[in-house]
Amino acid sequence: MDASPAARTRSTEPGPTHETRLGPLALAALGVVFGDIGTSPLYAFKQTFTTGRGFAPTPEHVLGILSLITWALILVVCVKYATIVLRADNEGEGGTLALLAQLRPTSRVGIPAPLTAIAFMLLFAAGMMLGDGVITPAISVLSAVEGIGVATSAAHPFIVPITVAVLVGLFLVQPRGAGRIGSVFGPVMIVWFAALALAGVFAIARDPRVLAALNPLYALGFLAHNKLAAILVLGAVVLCVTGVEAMFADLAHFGARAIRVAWYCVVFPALLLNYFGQGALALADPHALANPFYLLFPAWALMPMVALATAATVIASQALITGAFSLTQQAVQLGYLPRLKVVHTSRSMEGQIYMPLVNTLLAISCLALVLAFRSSDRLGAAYGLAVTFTMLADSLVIGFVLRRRFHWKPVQIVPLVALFLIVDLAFLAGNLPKLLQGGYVPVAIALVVFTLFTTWVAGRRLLALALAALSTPVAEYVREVGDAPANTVDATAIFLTPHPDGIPFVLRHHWLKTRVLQEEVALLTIVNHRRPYVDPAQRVTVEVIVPRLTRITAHYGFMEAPDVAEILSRCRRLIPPEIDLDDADYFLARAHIVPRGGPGSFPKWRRWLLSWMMRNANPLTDSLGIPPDRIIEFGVGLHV
Amino acid sequence: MTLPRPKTPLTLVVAAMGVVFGDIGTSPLYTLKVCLGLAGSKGELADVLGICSLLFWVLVVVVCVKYVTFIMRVDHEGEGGILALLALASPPRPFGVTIKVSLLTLIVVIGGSMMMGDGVITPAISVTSAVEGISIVSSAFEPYVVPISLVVIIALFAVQRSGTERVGKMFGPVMLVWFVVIAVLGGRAIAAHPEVLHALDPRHAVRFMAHGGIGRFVVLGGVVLAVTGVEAMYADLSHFGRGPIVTGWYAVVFPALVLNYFGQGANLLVDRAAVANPFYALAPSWALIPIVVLATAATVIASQALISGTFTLIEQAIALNLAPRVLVKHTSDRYKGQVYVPSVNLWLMIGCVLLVVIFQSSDRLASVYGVAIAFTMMCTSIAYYFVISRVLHWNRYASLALVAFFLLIDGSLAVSSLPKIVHGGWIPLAISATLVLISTTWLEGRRGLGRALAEQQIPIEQVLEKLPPGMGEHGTMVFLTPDPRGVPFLARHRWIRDRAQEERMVVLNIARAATPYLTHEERVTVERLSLRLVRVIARFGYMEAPRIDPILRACDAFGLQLDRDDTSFFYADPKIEAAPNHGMPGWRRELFAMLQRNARPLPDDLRIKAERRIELGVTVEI
Repeated sequence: MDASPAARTRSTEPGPTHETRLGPLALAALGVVFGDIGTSPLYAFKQTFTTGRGFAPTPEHVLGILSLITWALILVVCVKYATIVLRADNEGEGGTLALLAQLRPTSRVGIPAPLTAIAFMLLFAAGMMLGDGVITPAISVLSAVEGIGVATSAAHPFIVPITVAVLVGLFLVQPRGAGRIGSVFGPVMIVWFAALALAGVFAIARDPRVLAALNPLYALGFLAHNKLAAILVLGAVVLCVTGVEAMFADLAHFGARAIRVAWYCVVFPALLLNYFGQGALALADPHALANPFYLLFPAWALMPMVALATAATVIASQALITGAFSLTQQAVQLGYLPRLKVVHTSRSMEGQIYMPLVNTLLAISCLALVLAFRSSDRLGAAYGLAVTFTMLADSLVIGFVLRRRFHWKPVQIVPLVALFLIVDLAFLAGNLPKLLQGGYVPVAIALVVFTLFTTWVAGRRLLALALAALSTPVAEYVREVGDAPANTVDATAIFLTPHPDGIPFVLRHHWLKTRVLQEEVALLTIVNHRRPYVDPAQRVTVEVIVPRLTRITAHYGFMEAPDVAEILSRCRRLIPPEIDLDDADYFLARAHIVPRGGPGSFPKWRRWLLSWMMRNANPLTDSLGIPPDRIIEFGVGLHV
Repeated sequence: MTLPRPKTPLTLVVAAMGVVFGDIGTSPLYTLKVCLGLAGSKGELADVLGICSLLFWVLVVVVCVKYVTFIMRVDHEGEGGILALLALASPPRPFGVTIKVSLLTLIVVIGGSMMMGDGVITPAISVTSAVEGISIVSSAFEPYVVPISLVVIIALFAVQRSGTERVGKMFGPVMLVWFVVIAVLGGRAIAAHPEVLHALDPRHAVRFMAHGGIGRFVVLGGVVLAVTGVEAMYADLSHFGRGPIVTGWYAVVFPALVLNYFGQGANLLVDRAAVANPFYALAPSWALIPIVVLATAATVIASQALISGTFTLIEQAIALNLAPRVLVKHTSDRYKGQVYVPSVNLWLMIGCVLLVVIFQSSDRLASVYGVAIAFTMMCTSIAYYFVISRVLHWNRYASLALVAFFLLIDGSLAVSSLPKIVHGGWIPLAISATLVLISTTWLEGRRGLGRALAEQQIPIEQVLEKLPPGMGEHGTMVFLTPDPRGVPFLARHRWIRDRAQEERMVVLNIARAATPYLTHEERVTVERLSLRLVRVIARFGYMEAPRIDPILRACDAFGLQLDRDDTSFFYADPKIEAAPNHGMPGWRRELFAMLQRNARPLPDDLRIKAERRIELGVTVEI
């Protein structure tokens, strides 16, 4: 396999090959990055008036809320994400976990570093993203389908069944690689944004007074006048910016420029026009608040709009599902989750993945939410809490990144971060009451994911430390073997070990037990780097420790999948010719968890959880592609 | 036998009260009420007599005739229950009982799964109906019924881990008091209105059924609640033997049940208001609270019996390769049969709690209950036919006629329960269907695994031909294998072939004997096939937990030292792949892979030290 394309092709859809022309790239970004934020007008404006005690659509309230929405979009999306956060990429890769990879302290190779406070926060934020991610498809598809209820009230009983059917269909096509039809997503979203803008313009033309809401004083006035009630409205305003995280998470696919172009040229204007149009409509006709989005359209356009909205929400949900796959995949590669089964759905585009387990879990929780909440209004009450946590976490971490990566001075960082924090905390305050109304759903999901993350990292660390403690210094092992020469068999043995120093437990155990050594012994260590990609030319290093004992170290970035065939083909020129790598047996340690007791040991439930995760992880040998009848696993009891 | 036999038969009968008759003995709490509800009756004379007559005759036919007279006489080395029927009907094989995928297996698996599906409901409905008594005392208590029931249920499941041996002694006497009390309550009411005794005449039952047309048929779905505990009676056969159960049934339980059902009927004849809760209406108001307490105790005991019964069923199913291995703990040194299965305990608890939370009342739970158990009874009848015709060689026509009669009764009860499906009866059926799916997938998958291992093994005779002479100096390789006619892994793993040149080899087969328990002498057979190759067959009864230590000790007695650091135990680490043709559908393969990953590995169960284990990759195509 030729490595340089192999390493890069995984992200070539449409590729970090930023040489691709900006236009097509920005178009594609519309279909992937802005689906979630672009479908918020379906429910967000309506939600602001129904939250809490509810507000009458007086000019004062409408202008205040519109102003809040406008400035939320400007501060959160334009300033925070488009300007600042998009810079914090990890060699092109974006997203919370990539950020975390950058900030984690270095550790001994093969032993996961202990989690820092920032890590805890970011892992919780990642859990929250998954928690909200479950709600997004449910709320967007449901609110789109509710459009048919506007057309005729006879359709009401069919809203939930149709929504369920759309979602089931969406999750069922995932194994076939739904991203394959991704090329039509961008154009559909262009049509969608055009429709949003157009409908908004017509409504604004009828009542241009709403444009006054661009003035932030209306927002401040609204907050000052309504105090606590206004804070609660913020819990609904935040729905306008849900999905903003995707701008950062999908950074690698499109690059910052294309994302910014799509945002400023298409999405931002369309969203503003539409929200203002909804505001103008509410001023003209208070009853329109029943569904201000669909009532923007003339009756003849209603059914086509429902179809278009459903398509847009399906695209948004698709982007979200794909996002959940890549987030999980990143978590796996960075060592926060056990290896899961990954299916590559496209031969030409390596980035197209499908994770059966994640898909099933998303589908079950999404359908359960639709069936339990039954309307987008009620789902809106559960939605948004998690995204504020994520945004808050990003605000805090961005301070560290600005300091470490860009060497900003504290005087520059503190005011900026403080501004972000004020906005985030205000949103958080507005969202806290949702906790009881259904907000516990994403929080509960986040807690479960967070527990899995932290248990896995802490458990792997304890296991790795225990295993490393069993390894022997090279000199001692060489002396031992020299003192009592072993019988040799004409074969090659490769010992997999996570630690690139010392003699692994398995080798010495094997030798002590059998007093037989293979003619050639190689130690293979796979080092996972905190960079997304490793230069293929530096993939392997080979060191002949003593004759007949060779150490091979393979280096992989967190966006790359280790593969034993690649490693061996790269080794061939570097190692003694006697070693027959194609016909080798692979030896590795199979950890059995033994209760340790005493301080720092795992409680029983955590030990159980860790061993459950270990059991159900996709075996390393599987993802490396080692033939099963070459695998010999030595049991070792490790105290946790 | 599980419990050491007490000195006198009388104490044994009392002990049996606490285990065997819990479920069937607490049915009067809700059965008559549910039947009246299904009949849409306000307590009219004809309805009351008809239902009492039905209850009486169903008890006679199902319990006295079918189970006590016929089915309970069939046991497998003392063990009862539907799985024992399967073990009995399966021909013995060279290495323990091997269950094949057959019609009988499927029927038994369905029966066992149905029993568990209904079993989840038993604790929920029994405890709720008992606690509901407090709302009779004062309606102010009504909001507390569900919380109190939940506390009782959770406490019940929480104490399982420490075993119930100590409190178990109290169960028999408490149940004896319970039966005496319900008999007295019923007897008082009958004495006041003896005309209810007319219900002994089966014509009342027939007239009742004939009168109301097809709609009356559903009342049988309520009547079945009176006999839901009868399968548990059979499953608990081994604990006491048939004698004490028969004595207990005829001397205490049957009369007490009949008196109580008839008493409830007699009371209804004068007090129409009693239809709201005919059982508690029997109690004088001063006795209400003590009776609620006693009823709660009785239902807890009944639920306990059900939980232990479920653990036993799971353990039997694992031994017969019908369920993935899970952790089974023996909670008592003295009583071998006392087991605790943590995972099953947790699932049962979650199920019970959810049921109580969702359904909120015993009435609504009753609309779910009894659907599955009627199917279990049918399955038992069919399995019974296989046993009497194949093993006992009864006259073919006589056995056909007998079983057809049983099936007619069971079938009516089952069919009449079917309308419950729409009211939630699908829940136990769905649970059962899931269990059937797991069980059959496991059975088929394990056979695929067996085939894959067989392909990698070389027959002993061939190994002996090629084996170099000598003792084998370095170490011992012990192969855990389901088929001791060959040495596994040799065909594919070169590394094993290399080691075989140097080491001693032991082929170790853990066989599950068709008997519940074995003596120390029967534990192992050691065959020295050559200086280097030894075959060991270790046997465990299907009620015993296999452990490596007794095997090692027993081998030691034969001069085969295996408890050494240079001994390694080899077993397969299966990697499941799709068979090229006629394989399982993908989702079932995934299910099997998931079960296989999460089943407890045999070496874990055997408690082999981690450092002595070596796993070899094996590709399994199913």
